Amino acid sequence: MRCSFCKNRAVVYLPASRISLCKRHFVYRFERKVKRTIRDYHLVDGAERIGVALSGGKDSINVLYILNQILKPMRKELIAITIDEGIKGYRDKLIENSAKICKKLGIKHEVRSFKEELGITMDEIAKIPREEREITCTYCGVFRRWLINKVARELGIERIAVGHNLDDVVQSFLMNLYRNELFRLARFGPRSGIVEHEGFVERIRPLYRVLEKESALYAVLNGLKTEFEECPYVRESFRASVRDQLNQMEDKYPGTKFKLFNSFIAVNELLKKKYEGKGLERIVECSICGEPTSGETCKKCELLEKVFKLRKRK
Amino acid sequence: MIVVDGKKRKLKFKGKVIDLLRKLGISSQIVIVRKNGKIVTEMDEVSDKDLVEIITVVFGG
Repeated sequence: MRCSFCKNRAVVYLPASRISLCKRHFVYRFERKVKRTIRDYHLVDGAERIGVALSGGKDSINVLYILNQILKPMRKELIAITIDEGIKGYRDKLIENSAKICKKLGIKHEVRSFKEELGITMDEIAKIPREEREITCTYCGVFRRWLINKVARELGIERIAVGHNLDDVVQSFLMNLYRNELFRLARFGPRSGIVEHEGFVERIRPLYRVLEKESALYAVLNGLKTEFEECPYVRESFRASVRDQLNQMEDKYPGTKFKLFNSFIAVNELLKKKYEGKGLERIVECSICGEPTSGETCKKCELLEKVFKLRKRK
Repeated sequence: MIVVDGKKRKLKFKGKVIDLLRKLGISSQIVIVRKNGKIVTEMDEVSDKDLVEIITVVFGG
């Protein structure tokens, strides 16, 4: 198959728009889409020190790579933060890959671990019988967000970029509809939510408009990723089921993800208006760790306390 | 030869990549396909006489 623009050999066919692209045109269009997202939503305007939550997966590596291209000429500082959740045989490889990329690009790399900061690893949590605990992704997600925010603040980072892509947005849209938790959707824009607090470092999502498969292809074509790894605990998650459903729909009805994404954008605006300033998100300091939270204690402290109790019983 | 994530599959096939993926029950949303070392699109033709590598690139929860 040939590229629709230059007749070179195509590397991707986009059935929703019925075009095929060669490497050069695909990379150009991908970067243009990400740079437009950054510009349209003012993702880096007014901030001098930007962080990237670098897991070592394709999406966060792409964010780091593209932000580096943009921020270097602007003389803004870029710092990568990697969290070691303690998942043997999975996270160690990704940390190694993250360190290599940061070294190659000359970017400061901060690595923190669950073990040092929280006193427990994900492998240890996963050993607790499934029927007694939450799914592993719940702990991992809450603890990781808490730690990234804390480290970013400690490093004086003004905004932290995460690797969420269009698939993540659409999955979250459906998950929150299934769970009837619409207020959560109001938070999920290209810049973080409806709550501002000095303790929260604002999150930005430069890959907001790109498909996950496009992100994988970009990483491969640029030599940023050669091996792909699956977290051993991912199959426990609700998100994994929603992702499979969505991929089946996209295969059968190309363009489904973009249509859902556009529905989300329309709904997101309405929800922001509905929940803004309604006092749903009163922010105080957690009575245990002092991090910002909407309750008396934060979700991280609540989950951690339960986990340690369960481990003690063994 | 058809290889899925490093494992050889005994399969006779000649046709489009998209039809091969359907036959194998693999979503085209989660893989990249190489024919004789080069990335190809879902609309390209492949056969078991080529080295067809199907690599899962989308995981995550």
